Amino acid sequence: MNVAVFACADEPAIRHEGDDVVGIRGLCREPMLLVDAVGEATRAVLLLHERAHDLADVQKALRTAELDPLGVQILEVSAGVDEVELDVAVAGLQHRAEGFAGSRPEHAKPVLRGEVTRRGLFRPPNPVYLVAPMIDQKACAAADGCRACVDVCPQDAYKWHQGRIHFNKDVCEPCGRCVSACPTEAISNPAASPTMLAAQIDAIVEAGEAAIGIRFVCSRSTQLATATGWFDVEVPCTGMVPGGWLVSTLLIGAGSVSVLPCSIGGCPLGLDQHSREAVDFARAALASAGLEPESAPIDSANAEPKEPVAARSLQHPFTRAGDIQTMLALDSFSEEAFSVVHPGSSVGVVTIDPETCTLCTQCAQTCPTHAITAAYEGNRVSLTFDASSCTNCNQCTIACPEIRRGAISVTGRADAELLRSGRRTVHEGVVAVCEICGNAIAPTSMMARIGELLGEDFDDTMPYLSHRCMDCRGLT
Amino acid sequence: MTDWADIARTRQGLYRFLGGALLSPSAEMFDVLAQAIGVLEQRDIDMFAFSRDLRRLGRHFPADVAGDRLDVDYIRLFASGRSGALSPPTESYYRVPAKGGGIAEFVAEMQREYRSMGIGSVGLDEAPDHISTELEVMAYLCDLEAGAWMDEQTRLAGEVLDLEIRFLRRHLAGWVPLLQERVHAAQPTAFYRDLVDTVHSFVVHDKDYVRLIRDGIAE
Repeated sequence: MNVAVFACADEPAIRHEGDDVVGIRGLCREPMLLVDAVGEATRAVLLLHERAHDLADVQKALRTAELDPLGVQILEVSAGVDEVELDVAVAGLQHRAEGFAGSRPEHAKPVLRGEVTRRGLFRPPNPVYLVAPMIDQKACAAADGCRACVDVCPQDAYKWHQGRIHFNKDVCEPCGRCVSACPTEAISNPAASPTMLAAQIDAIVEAGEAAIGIRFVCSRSTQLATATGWFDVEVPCTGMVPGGWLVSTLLIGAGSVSVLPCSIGGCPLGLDQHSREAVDFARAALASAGLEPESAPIDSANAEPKEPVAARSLQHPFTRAGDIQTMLALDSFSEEAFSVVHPGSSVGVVTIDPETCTLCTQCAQTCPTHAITAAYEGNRVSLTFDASSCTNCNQCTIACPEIRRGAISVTGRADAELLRSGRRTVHEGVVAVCEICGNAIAPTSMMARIGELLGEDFDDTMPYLSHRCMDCRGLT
Repeated sequence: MTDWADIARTRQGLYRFLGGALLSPSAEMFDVLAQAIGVLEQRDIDMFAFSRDLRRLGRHFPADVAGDRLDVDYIRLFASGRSGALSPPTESYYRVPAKGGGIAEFVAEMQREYRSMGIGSVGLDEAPDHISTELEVMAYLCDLEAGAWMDEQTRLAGEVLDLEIRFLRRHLAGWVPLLQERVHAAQPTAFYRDLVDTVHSFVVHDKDYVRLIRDGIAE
């Protein structure tokens, strides 16, 4: 992968020429100058002056240069920036660009800035392309009943219909909530993929000579200054960043981590609460691991970053597997077994109430990650649960027909012991068997509940239904 | 590009070009297509997200139909009858199993839809649900839209845009991704792979872009 770095060489100079950055005079005003400069590069980082360029023109020039604009990293540089810090930021963006795996046509969401004029007498505006999420239908668990994206989308861009998720790109204001909330990782944003984020943070940590602070910033934000040693990692909206990601960032080697929402007035998508919850979870997790938040500060980009807690090797941070790895890594700091209970946890624990659960197995059928499974053996049925697969998505509670009686509940809980314990049986019962053919009919607890709901009028019928399967009813 | 009429004309040209490229290939037709893409590439297409696909496709021209075995690949992919082709280019193949009903009903419904838009025939021998027919229908609508912009009839342009949006959503945007998937699975020649990629990329884009223009028209 060949990543080139281009900088506008207009005054005030962003970079001195002579290093690995190609300076182009007039680049902000005339992005088409890129076309002759790109050469063999397949990825790019652009260093442009703050608010001095038109994004539509830049994207157009990148297409002419045969680069995918959705993967090109643009850094707006203000006058007087520290050159050493700029070097570190550029190293991060180079690695982020390198991690770009390409986009699909569905990912591009055009936006027109300006009104379509009645007479069309002047030049129509060039579209600017935002990055919209896209569902991989093959990985999507909607057919099993999962609708986690529908639940979290602040714009109602997702609808579940007949076992399929329908996405309305027109109303989507790309925030990435669906991407981080999808239990099966079926929704992608190619411009902020886990690989790209991890590569960027990793490179910043590697390149930085002193303690590093990582600040997740919303793509809509006007980026406020931070204390020395802080570096920004842009995400579509900070509301998409789960608490586990903040902890992972510390374990990659950052000394501090922070979240900058898009504006002081609040997130226009109403996702501030999620950012606060993420920060709160991360603090609770660190405290549970015996790491005082003061030694690894979260949400304080005004102070100098701390020394890293202790870097741990994380294979795939910002993924489902990475979340589990992160929680298990925290356990290595903890004197007692690590355990944190918090609604912002992206790991959950399912509890079944044996008194009210009828063993209908709807939860197992719906669970998008197969954390809950149902198994039939002889005349017994059992529900099993594996905490390391549970994403705290709560789809099982939505599917449970006995939820009002508290048959199932999910707690946001990351518990090292449970994560390591593997699959265990959480409830089991007997299955009624057909007296004629011997095939299973249904769990006896379920038949009892049906009888209870039908009432006394069906007292005579229930024994019959409980002893004959569908195929054998009516046979003498 | 200077105005909305110009953009509509470019889109018309693209629909017509792509529809033509998905007909049975001949040396004469590919000469015409080579000229057409030359003209299209001179337009300001890099302002649109699909331009990279179109430029990749453009590199195949001038194409040697027989030498590159495009005629053989066309038959293998699209023209061996409904059950024999690896990736039939007709909407009913992809939509009828899901929607239920028969192919005849589906195609008859499409004919009724064309008549309701004032289209008797688009001048092709292909079925109403053939990819080239549907692309040609969009070309026709773009032509109407361009005329409306030229005559400064914003309201009429808006009405035509509504037809375009509806047609794209009901038809092309729904099944072109399925066609693309089938073509890719059939391991086509680079030409047909890049052609269906461009059709897919352009249709997906146009569905969003046309809606933007419509929403932006001042009331």
